[in-house]
Amino acid sequence: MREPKADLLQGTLDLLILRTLATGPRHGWSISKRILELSRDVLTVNQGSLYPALYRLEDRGWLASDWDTSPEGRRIKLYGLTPLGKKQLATETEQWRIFSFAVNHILQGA
Amino acid sequence: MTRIGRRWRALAHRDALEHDVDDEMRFHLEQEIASLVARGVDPTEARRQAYAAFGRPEAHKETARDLTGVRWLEDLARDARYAIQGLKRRPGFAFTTVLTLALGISATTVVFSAVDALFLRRLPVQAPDRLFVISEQWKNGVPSTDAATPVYPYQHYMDLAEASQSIFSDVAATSLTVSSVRLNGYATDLTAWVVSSNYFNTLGVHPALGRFFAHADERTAGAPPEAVISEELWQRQFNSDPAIIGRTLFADSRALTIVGVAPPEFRGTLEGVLGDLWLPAGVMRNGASAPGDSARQRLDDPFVMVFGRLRPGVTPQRAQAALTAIGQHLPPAAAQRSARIRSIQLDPLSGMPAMMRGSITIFMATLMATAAFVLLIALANVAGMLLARGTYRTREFAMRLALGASRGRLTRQLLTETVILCGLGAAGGILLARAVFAAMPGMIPPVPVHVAFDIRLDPVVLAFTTAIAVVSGVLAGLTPALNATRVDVLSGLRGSPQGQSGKVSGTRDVFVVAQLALSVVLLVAAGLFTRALDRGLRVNTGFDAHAVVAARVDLESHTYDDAHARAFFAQLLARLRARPEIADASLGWWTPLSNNNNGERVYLPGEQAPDGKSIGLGYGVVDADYLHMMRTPMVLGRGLLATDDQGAPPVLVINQTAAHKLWPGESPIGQFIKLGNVEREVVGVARDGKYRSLDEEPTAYAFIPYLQRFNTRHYTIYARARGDSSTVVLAMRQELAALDPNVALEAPGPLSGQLAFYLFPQQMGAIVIGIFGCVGLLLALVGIYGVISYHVGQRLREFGIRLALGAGRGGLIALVLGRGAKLIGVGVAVGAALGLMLGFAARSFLYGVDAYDPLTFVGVSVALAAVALVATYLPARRAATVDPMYSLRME
Repeated sequence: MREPKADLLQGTLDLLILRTLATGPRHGWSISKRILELSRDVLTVNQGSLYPALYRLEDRGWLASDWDTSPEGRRIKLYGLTPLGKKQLATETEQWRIFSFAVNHILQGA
Repeated sequence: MTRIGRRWRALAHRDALEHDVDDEMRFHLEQEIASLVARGVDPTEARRQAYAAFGRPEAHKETARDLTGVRWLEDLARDARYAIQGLKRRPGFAFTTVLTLALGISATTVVFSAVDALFLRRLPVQAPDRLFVISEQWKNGVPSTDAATPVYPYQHYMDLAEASQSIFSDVAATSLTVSSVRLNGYATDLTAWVVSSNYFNTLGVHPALGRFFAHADERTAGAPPEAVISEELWQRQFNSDPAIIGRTLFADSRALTIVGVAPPEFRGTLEGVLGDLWLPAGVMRNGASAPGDSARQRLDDPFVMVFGRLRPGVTPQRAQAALTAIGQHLPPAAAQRSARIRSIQLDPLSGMPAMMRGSITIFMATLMATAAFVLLIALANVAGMLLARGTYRTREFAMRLALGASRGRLTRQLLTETVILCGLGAAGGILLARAVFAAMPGMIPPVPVHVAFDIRLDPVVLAFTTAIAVVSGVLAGLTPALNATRVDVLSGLRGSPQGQSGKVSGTRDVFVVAQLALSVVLLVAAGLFTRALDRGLRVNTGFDAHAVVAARVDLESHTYDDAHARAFFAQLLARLRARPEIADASLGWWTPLSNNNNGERVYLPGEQAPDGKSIGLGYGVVDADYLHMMRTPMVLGRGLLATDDQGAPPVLVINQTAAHKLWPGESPIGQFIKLGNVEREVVGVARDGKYRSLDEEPTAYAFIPYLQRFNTRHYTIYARARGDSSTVVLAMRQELAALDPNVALEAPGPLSGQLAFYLFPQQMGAIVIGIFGCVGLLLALVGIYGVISYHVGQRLREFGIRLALGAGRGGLIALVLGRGAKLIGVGVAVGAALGLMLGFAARSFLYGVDAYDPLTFVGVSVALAAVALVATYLPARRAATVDPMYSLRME
């Protein structure tokens, strides 16, 4: 059973990762599940790009990571927003609003 | 964790990081599989789907490594391995490059280590930046018979010290002297500092053993006779025996108690001069002197340097202003001195006195610039070789770019290669520099004081060399790397190297011409100096220095009166003549060619002072055997005789020039010459020679028997060896010690050493410039080889076509050689022109060797052109042996 899924627009993955972490730290797998969930199963994260994106965001100082133990006793790596990441989330959210507003206008006007 | 912190951790704990990434990804996959299984997917299928969706874990790891910097390090290691393999494949290229760099780097390292030793190192004293030399600047036009530079008599030093107590916490004074010290039965000349008693306190130096001088007011008698010795002397002469303290040392016939040993690093306050002992000035002037001291007391000489330690908070500017006022208002007793002082200057105390600093700075700056130039040429060469090599590698780079390598990555790889080459070059440079250091002591001219420059590879020099190597690597490697990686992928793969700009080869041509020209200039200069040296050694000096040993014997500071001194020298000569290893012995007041200037005005016959015609007559005061011992033949009359003593009528022997000037066309025998109010009869004429310097014009000269003019007790003793001259010094020492063990044989050495000393500038010029010239030539050869190789590399395809169309191989060689010959011709012509200009500028050092000495110019030009053509021939042969099929297929 295949569901219709949309590919992510380039550049939006960062925004979605930051957004899912706004409510608290998560590990990589749960970030991808959460994005799928929040988009009502429409947006699926290409898993091949998730980890590179995480490392990149961490390198930029927007995410911080720490090791924790899962309820099952597994060693897991949790990612959380840094203050810088929160600021970046606000900026990117604002940019996305303007962008989608403009695109919608164009589509409706045509 | 900060970004840098994370990078550091990544580098330091590479395995741990890999492990972390593995853990994280494995967890993700397991979760994904579990979730799929939970939705009812078959476990095997779930596993497949999860892996398919996740992509290659290795690729993610790569990203992680990229971001953390591990990748960079891995690349570096891989590049280094690759570069070393590449260099091993082309040992000729690697060797030439490393040698080139080693030459350039060692040139700068050697010069810099001299700069380091002379300028950068501080004296091993406490807080040297608060120590200042006090030097008086005298008014011009004050009639004075004194030395041009002020010296500081004891009383004056004390006046200055007392008057400046508010400025300096201590004022000390010192001067340098040579002292005969009895060691192992012989008196030996040691380098001694005569110092004020507070000298060590002022410097803040602490003894390695014992104590230094107790502070005493040296103007009142009663200070104990003491001496401090250097650590080296303690080791060398006394086997570091701790019982040395309290032992007696005989210095200039005075018994002194050794009270302390100076720390090993401290040898006095003058760079390059290694003090062996320190003698307190106050003691020397007071009680300890033996009865009957001669009138002239060497240790009673005024100080040459006064220095003080500034009180805390006093700035040098303020101190200088205050001191000038002090100097101009000294106590009434010193009014005469006060009137002379224009100002008092303060210079930081350093191993390099202010008066020498200027000229040595210029000298070192010239050397540094030359060395830097040599290094730059070396770098230009290396860059050229890399550039040439890049053209051969165009295909390789195009291929790699096409396969996805980034340009930055390729550039980095090429730079790694260059930095490795420079590292090897620096290692070679350091080895070369060490060899130069080892040869250095032999280049110091013979002087009486103990001189040695502590030039070595200390951390400062090593840091400098390393920095030079890295900067060199980047400078030499960057342009070729950028150039090599700027290939057009398509044409590069097709194999046409014409993608390179023609400008590159134009720039390189200019470089090679400049290099060749510079080598010609340097080699011409070296050649001229060598010719001058040769000419100087062949100048007819009028005496035969072969197998003659000369040494000074000085009774001035010992307890001899005139009668005893006459007897002493007579006995010494008699003892020497009795030795089987000595053929002749004699003595004289001046060593020939020592630039002495003694002489008097002598009026021509019939002329009178003050306006009459006169000539300058130089003279030597010598023993009767002098002319015979020197093998100077008599032309007329008789030589001096042992009977020409103080009781006999005053006589002299003149030379041909004097005879000709005073009595042209007449016999001078029986004529009289008035010298110093004494009428002397001319008894003989000796053949002309050189007396003061090698390049002097024919000089009127006379020889006076020393017994008739005995107004010094300081003579040069000569002994001509019968066979081997090496045993003569020992014989002289033994005979001297037998007469008086306290008198030292000063600066014994072959008389030809005097000539060597005189020719020192020529010798140094020939050696140093010759070395630079050879280095330059070598570099120029490498350069021209590189340019022609590059040229051939670019035209390889064309040559292939020419061959295919039937051109002869000889024709191709001629074609390439022609291009090389053009560069060589221009370079040699420009260099020869510059060499002519330089030759005229340095004429005064050339002893009559023409500045356009044809032998030198033609010799250098032909030799250089010949070897340069050989360097051109090697790549030319490569052009001719190219396989036409291969070079055409490159298209």
